[in-house]
Amino acid sequence: METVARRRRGLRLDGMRVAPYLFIAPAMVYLAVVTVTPVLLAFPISLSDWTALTPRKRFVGAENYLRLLTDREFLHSLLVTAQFLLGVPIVMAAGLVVALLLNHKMRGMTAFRVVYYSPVITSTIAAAVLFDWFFQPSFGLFNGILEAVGLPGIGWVSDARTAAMSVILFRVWKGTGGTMLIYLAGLQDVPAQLIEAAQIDGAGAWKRFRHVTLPLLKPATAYLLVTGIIGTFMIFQETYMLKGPLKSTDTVVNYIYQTGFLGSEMGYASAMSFALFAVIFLITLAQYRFLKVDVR
Amino acid sequence: MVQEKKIGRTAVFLVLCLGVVPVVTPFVWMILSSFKEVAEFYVFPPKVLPRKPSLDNFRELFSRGDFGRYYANSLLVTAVQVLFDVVIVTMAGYGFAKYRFRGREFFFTVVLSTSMVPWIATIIPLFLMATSVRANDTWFGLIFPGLADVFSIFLARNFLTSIPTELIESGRMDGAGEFEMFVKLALPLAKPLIAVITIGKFIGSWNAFQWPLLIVGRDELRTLPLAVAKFSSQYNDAYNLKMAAAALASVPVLVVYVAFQKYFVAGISLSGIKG
Repeated sequence: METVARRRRGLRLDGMRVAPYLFIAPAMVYLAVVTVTPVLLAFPISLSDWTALTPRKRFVGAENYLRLLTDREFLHSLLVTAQFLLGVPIVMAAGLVVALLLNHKMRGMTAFRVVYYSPVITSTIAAAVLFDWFFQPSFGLFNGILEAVGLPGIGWVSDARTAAMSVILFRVWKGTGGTMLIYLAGLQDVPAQLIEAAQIDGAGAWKRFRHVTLPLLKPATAYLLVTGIIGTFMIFQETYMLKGPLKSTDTVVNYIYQTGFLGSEMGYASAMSFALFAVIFLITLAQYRFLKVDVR
Repeated sequence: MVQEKKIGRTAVFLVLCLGVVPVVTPFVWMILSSFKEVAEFYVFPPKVLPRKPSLDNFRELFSRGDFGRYYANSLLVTAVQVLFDVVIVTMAGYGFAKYRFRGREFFFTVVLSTSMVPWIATIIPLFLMATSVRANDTWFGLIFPGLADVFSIFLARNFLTSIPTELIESGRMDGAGEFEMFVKLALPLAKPLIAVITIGKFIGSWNAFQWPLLIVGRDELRTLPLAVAKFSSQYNDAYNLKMAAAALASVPVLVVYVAFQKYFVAGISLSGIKG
């Protein structure tokens, strides 16, 4: 009797000891294969002249990175990507405005929130097909609108001068709901008493916003700024679908795709993506510094 | 004062209504246009309503374009990934939430840091790994890399921490096995969590594009976003078919989203990114 009980307890103890590892094992195996191993391989691959077609690879040292520095097309794609950074404050400001409006206790707010967020969950590819048509100069919707208000139509994506701006417009449509939701969550943490106190002190709506609400939204702003910048560095689908002439919308990731997957220069593409990763990593680190300072 | 407040509210309501127009117009336009004939797309200025609404575009997509197959493919990939995601994520979340064990901090740090690795850093090595095991153009290669959303593990851990430990202790007293307790005690209480994970993953999988674009070459494995992109470049002028294809790809997600919208907000607050 006693031994059976002890054995059972022993087994159970063992069960408790082993169980947590079994629970996290699938996730850990998955992460090891899909993220950890690739991250560790990324740098060595970038030092090789690996091509997708031939399994042979040769160690070439820093050659890919040196080539990067003199590759005009790469530098051009960096500039193109940098242009899209303009969209980040626009999406944030638009999201903030919508969030401020939605933060009233009124009926129907849920419905508005659902509608404003809907572009975020829509397939970028499907939405881009739609906007591609809107952007058509001779029969698209946007020039139809411009014409209706008496303005001359423009070339949108088909004109190298306006192509990047058009893609930004698309991203604002697609992304505002996302920044709205984060700001809305942030606004719901702003204590009502604080706003009321400011009101009693005679602060007008703008002053209340400027000196009470906005400082309290700083963590949300910092988060959105950093994720917005990182997201911009990885723009791909939008510009894969809405492609301006003369490489006017070819981002770094588009270029990586072209060299690595269409041109099969995996080593070189890997160096580019590793460089991009380094930049993103630095931005993430900066975010942590920024947020920590903010907490104090 | 009350009067003023009322005016303010009406103003807010009106501005919100105004803002809805640019958000919704593209969707309405897409759906209405998918019933148009191709000639109607070249009318300038564009007309809102189809002249003679017909299902011809959809019929053509399914008969000539093989969209039935792409639909089935997207459904299959999404279903498998959602299923695995729910299992992997809730298990890991439960392990981190309800046990103290050696290496817990370490493993959680692994989860934490991998969730911050951008896809661009891993995609080339992952592709070469897939190539080396000949997973290109296979279901396995298409599905496996998207099996789980690491970020949801935080969500799961936060949610499952709130399940009372006494409940699990009492299960232990009754001699239930560890896995049995997870399935019979914890999971029934975690329905909102499962809903959040399911819907988030459904949308992510259904819309996935980058990885499928790299790994799929055969038409038989093509998912909807791939098909829409391919179609769009192939039939450059067939705007009627393009609109119908875009509608096919986006309407299911919109329906699921509207039906389960409350879980989105729940997801945001659960994950604790309030900034």
